[in-house]
Amino acid sequence: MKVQTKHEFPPIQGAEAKIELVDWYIAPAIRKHRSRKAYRNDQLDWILRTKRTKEEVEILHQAKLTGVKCPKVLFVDPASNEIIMEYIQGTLLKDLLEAGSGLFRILGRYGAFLHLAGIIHGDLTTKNVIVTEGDLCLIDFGLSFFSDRVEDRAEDLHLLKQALKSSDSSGNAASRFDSVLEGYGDIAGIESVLAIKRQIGKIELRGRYAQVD
Amino acid sequence: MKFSNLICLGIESTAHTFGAGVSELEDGRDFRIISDEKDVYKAPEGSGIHPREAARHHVEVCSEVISRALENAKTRPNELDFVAYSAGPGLGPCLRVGAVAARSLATYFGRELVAVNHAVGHIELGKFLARLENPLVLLISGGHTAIVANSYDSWRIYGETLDLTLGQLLDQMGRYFGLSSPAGAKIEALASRFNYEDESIPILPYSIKGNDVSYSGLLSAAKEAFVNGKSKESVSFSVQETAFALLTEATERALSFTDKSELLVTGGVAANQRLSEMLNAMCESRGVRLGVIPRQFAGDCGTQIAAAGFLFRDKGYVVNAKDAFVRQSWRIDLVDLEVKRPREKGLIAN
Repeated sequence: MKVQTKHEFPPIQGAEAKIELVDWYIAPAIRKHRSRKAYRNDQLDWILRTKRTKEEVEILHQAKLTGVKCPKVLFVDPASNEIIMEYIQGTLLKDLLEAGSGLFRILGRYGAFLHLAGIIHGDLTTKNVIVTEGDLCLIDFGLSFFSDRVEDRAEDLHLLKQALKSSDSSGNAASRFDSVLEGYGDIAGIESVLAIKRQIGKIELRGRYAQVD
Repeated sequence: MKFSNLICLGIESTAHTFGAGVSELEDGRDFRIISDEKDVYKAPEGSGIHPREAARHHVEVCSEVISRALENAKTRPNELDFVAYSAGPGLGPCLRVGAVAARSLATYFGRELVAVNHAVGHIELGKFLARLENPLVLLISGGHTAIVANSYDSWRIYGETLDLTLGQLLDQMGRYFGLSSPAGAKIEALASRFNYEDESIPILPYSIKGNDVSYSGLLSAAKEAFVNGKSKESVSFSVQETAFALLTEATERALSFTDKSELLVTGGVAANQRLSEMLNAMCESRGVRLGVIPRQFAGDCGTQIAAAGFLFRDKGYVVNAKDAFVRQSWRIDLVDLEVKRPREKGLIAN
């Protein structure tokens, strides 16, 4: 039997759910619990929470089949809206300020794997990527959904582009996003990348007071 | 010292409001509103703002509003230190009226002329009035629905609407009901009359993408529900509950992303009670200090331009009359607060 080590992991009250480390039989695991939001209308709140919990589990399973590394689901309780899943040790990509272009290329490839399987992550930011043993693990599929539309794929990457921009002060955002697109092209092909780039352009112009270059 | 006490006239004319306000800043921190006057263009029932008509309204009222602001402040134009005007973003014809008024005053009385970003105006005034230092800002109005924060020498957008703003959503829904813009308060009144026992609420799409929200699908679905026989009350209730919950969730995400401990809510829609309630509940659960701009200053006003005028003057946004351009799409994340020397020209036109 594996000797259990003590893990330091303070509970996180995320925007949508509470994430905490629990003991799950012999190994540590993550418990994700979507609690009631006091600000939200009860009926709406219940619909959203159960829908998201069920979809997250379904999508985690499908994502795994595409070869993308993500946490294994150990247990689901739809009645209390909680999921127990594998605990992944590592560093958030967000905190890895000097992360090289290689990691972003892998991220792009993983994005393409998901998209080709019809999965849109929905919250693809650097805080939802764990760097572990040189590989990446995607987490938080809480806003994920199934879609084959270019628009949804582009929105997924547009969000990543914005996240790179807003969390970066060293001016690496553009080159990092280029690495992501490069990786995406490795898997989905150059035509897909071009189509997505065009669509991202359109999305950006739709923004408030966008600049028309 | 001459600069320890600055008096500014702010002129606002981005959309339906023509406003003028005199404010004072002592020692660079004690902000005081001396006067605030405005005249709001009223769109005909069931229609929105027509830029040309709004601009015509502004031309008609501008001299009176400005004189009232100066009279109430007991300030003569040559006692002002500078005149600030909103240079964008906004409706071109309306912006030009304010810019012309500011330019004329500044040139005639030999005062400094300062170009101000309207959105930063909402934020600066909010910061002064709610006494917050470095908050995450939820800017909600007819022109903006954005979650922004100051970072280094610029404003960064952490989340925003991908299509309609919250103000537009409410106005367009109102227009569909045959109400005139701005319709936020009327929608709120309709929603408060909704009774669970009378009918079920229509379920509307809940579209959140990371920290970004999308309202266009919600608007279409709400219109459809109304056409299919749901009452104005139930549709208004559901629109508010859904749209505000979306925004509260996006704001909570941005709070958790940025680790900020203060939240400022500013802009016209900040006057909505239900939204304040929801944000308050969210902030309480996270231990975040919430500051909501007082209702009276939530909408567009000259004071917001004056409040931001002090900042922009400090950052070198003093312009010559001939270079005092307006820019309809001056996004808040393009406002550069780094350069400290006065820039000669091409400042806003870039």
